[in-house]
Amino acid sequence: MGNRTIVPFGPQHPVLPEPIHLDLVLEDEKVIEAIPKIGYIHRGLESLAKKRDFNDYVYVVERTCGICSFMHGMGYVESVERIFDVEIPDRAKYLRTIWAEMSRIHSHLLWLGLLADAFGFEALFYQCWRMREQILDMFEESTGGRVIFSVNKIGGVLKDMPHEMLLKFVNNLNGMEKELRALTDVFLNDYTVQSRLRGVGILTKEQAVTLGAVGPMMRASGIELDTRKLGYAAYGDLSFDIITSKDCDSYARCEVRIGEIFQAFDIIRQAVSKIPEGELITPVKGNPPVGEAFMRVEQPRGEAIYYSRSDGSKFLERMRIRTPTFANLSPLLETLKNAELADVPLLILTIDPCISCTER
Amino acid sequence: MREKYVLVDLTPDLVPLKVLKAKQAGARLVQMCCANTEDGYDLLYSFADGYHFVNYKIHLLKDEEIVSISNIYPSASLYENEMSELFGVNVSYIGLDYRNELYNIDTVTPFRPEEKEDGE
Repeated sequence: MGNRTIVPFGPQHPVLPEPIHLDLVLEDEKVIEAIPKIGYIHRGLESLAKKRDFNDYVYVVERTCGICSFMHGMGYVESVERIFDVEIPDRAKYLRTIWAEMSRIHSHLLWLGLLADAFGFEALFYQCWRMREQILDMFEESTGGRVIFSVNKIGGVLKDMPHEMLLKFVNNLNGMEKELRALTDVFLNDYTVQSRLRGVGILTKEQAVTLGAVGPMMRASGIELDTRKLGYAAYGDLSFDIITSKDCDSYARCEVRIGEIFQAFDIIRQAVSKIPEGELITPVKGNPPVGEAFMRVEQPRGEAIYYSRSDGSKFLERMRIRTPTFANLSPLLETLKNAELADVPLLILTIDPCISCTER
Repeated sequence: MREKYVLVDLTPDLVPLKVLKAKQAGARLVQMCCANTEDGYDLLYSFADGYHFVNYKIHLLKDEEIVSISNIYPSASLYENEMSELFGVNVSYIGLDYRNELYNIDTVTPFRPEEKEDGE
């Protein structure tokens, strides 16, 4: 047995844009165990539900995270819509789907940029983030915001996208898709990238189930599961396959996310071709009735759970958000076991951690 | 289209058996959470076998104890630490027990149910 040492990793680390701490128990350069510590930016957003009108709380919940802000808002309003038992207009469902898929492209491009930066490909990082800017521009044009959109409301959406705008967006995405092929070829075929990602951070199918992995982390372990297939928003009307990989390593996670970007382009194109005319919102009056509801949403990082419970007043009795990164922490700890110390930053990145989400 | 899911009540003594059955059936632990009630807590344990989503609601009195399921699902440790630290749920035998120090926060925990304030 080699010398055992404990190396503190984080909360401040160049690879981590947000704070999380890991105590890495090392034997020479090999990680034997990793013990996480969170709570550096805990904001008590769930607790705020008891003090904010349920209509206003959507503005709180979308501040859970700056990358999945739209999806957080959508998950919350859909859980409350279940309590009200209200059906939203079809056009609103399609608009939610389009914005959700734009969020997925923007989140995965951000992650690809961070990954490129972590293994020293600065130019690739710039290119990924430059492309991501185009999505942010589209968000700004359609919602008025680049990070927080505030377009979700219980009963539907607050803003529409005119037909000309949708066609322009599809045109932009077609251009982006061509450009992105060249970039993603580097991630998928470059020798250096492969040497850092292939065979590193293995999470088997069985481990992924037992440890509750979600999203690309789970699908990269060969599990064909995507919450969008449940058919919320307009996903039930659209055709798409679940992108998986059987390699179970860091490269597989990268491959799945890249596949999901191209899939998102296609889903948006389908949604634009099928979006019906009509109302944006079904008026919802009064307080939510006594009741409770779960809602599952497939965020870029994986399945997020929203649980709302109402006692009939304008304040929710309980609002729970189980974010994908929280679920992926246990699988991360498993992938760190027996990893080389030098691989730890990349392994942490491959779960696409969002600490803001985890802390809530 | 709305997802149809199962939500059933469960007594605390049946939790280990149900969880073990879920594990044997190949279900994954989706989430665990807690809500304050007048006399204690409602614990919600969610499992998914493929797309089949099952939730157990366990009512626990304030001074009652619930046994950890982290020996069955290791990922339960983080959820149980959260319930214990932020809500004060008495969970015994947690696999990785942070002893109320999972969250690095100044506020005194567990949080107590508060009186609702009037809206703005």
